[in-house]
Amino acid sequence: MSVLPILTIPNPLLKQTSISVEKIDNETKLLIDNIKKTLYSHERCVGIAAVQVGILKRIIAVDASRSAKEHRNNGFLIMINPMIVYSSGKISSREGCLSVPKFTAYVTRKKKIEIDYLDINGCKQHLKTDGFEAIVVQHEIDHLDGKVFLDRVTSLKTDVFRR
Amino acid sequence: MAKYISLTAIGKDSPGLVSSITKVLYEEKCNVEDSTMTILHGHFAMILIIEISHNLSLKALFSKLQKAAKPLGMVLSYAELFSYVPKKRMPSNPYIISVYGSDRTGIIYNVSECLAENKINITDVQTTLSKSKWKDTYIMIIECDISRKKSYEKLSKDLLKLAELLNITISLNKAESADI
Repeated sequence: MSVLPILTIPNPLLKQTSISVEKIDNETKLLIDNIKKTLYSHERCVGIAAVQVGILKRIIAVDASRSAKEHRNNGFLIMINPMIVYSSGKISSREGCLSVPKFTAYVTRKKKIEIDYLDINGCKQHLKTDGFEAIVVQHEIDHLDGKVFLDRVTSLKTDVFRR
Repeated sequence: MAKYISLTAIGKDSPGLVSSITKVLYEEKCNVEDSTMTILHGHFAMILIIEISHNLSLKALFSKLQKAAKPLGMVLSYAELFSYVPKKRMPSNPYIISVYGSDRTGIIYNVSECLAENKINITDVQTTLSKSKWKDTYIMIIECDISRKKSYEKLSKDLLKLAELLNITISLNKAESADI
């Protein structure tokens, strides 16, 4: 297992759409191990998409339990070919990203989501989540579609004190 | 009748800058109507709109402010606002434009010129350099007011063209307004 370097904007790979994983072979499993190790090597990282380490495969890793604030969460998750099949509500929060160093901004996302995905054994899974963990999953799935949070900024400052 | 002034103060960031300025304003019974204060590249910058009573001499106030600011190395300036309307103008249809790409000169100029040509009013701007080991990326977030649907369509086309020309990314999103 090795910690992989993180691509930062304006690297053109971060604007590409990642490709669905057809087969979870040894190479894919090694990539997942490396993504996991990379995630845990960054102190406050709660999610990574494969493209952030330069691999255009639809794989994301999420661990919302690592947030400084406590949030309801499902611990460490690997999602292969994740797809949001239901979403509702709106939630706005300040986001940051390893691929956008030293910058945070307000982004509005869906408050509740349901995701279909494959786990590391290739088994179909369905997850209902909301709040912070839902934000992380949406942020990571955005990476798979060539988007970073900067493409979704909806407020300069706090929403409350809009001038 | 009240008078309004704009006051700017900027100096190397250190604790006590805000209190040194606002102490004088408080003692002289001035009212801070609006302000923005932030750190820019290690310098703390304050811009304030202040209501002052009619019988207070502007010169006297400014000399007191300067006396307070000098030991902290702050540079001050002020101007009387003759056309100030004490009412906040809310953008009627706020949008956020995010701009990012490799650092180069002219990004602010080119984007703001595009907005000006489209008669779009900018209501707020933040810029920063996002530094990584390999590269510096310029990020600019603009809040603007797009009141007509026609203007939105034309602007999004123009911004897309500009992004291609400058080899940067520009995204246009409707701003979220607060519901509390």
